[in-house]
Amino acid sequence: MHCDQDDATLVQYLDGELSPDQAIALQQHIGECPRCAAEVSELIGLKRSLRVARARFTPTTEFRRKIQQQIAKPQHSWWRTRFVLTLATAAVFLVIASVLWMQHSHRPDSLSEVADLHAGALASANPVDVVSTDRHTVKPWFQNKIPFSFNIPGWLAQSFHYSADGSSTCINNPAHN
Amino acid sequence: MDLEFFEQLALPLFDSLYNLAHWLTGDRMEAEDLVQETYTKALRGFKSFQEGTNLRAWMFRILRNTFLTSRSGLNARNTSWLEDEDMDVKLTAAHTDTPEALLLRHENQQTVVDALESLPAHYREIILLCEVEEFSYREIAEILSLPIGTVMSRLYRAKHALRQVLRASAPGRSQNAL
Repeated sequence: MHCDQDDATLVQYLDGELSPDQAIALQQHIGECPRCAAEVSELIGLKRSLRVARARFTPTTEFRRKIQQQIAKPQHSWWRTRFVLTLATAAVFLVIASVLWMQHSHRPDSLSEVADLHAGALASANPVDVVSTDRHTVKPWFQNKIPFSFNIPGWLAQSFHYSADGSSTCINNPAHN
Repeated sequence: MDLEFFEQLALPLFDSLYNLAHWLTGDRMEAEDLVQETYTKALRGFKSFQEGTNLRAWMFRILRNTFLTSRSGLNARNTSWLEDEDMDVKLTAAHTDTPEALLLRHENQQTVVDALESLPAHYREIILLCEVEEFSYREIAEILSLPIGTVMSRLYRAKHALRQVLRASAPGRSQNAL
């Protein structure tokens, strides 16, 4: 019986690389062709004999541990990096929140301080009190600078001194002293 | 893909990778170096690894490419890494010879190992990828960076060459006219 079946196709058949239709057709042919049946039988024997190559070489326990550590190490580093990044982000948020909170909490204090100063100024006998820590002479600012004069209160036209003692400011008008 | 999956996916391939590495290099120390470098490269490239890609084939491809640039890989290429067409393999079917049958009967596993080791490296690796690792032709083409047609022809030639070596080493071949 003449057979022109390609041997490479028989190899592909045993390797499961033929389409279902091709495989069925070839299977039928093998059942009828002694030459191809013998060839397939040999190839199956070869396949079986090559099982010896599986797990022929096994790695040492020491090398296995080395690779496991090699793989695990970057992962730990990765987790450490993630942890540090999370921590840094939390710290930044904490700082921003603190600054905002401080600004928010200081605002009423500032407002109340201004209100107190305003109330103090209204209640004071000298409404032109100047807050300063320096001791110096204050003169009416418009003296000799404008070509006309105002009818200003007597105490304002005079030079007077004031001093600051750090905790409170008081005016020491020489005319009153 | 997240790196936390690398160990889970790549570590089970360790034994297979080492087995192939030892088959390719023929030396324990070289095989260890090859496997270690493979994991280093895979770890480095894992961030760009696309989910759904064949990780097993990808790892074997790294191993194989690393082997090609290694000392033993370069030696193998310089000595016997020839084109399939240059190999002096007579591709005629020998239906009267049954060395494989003899081999099975005598359970001479060492003969198979010796025959496999005597093959050129590119024949040995394609047989191992197909028969030991059971990769499909498409996967082998991906690992070896070859057209699938070349994989088919090379695999057929490799198996035929192995059969010839087994036939030559079978005892009493001339007397029994295998």
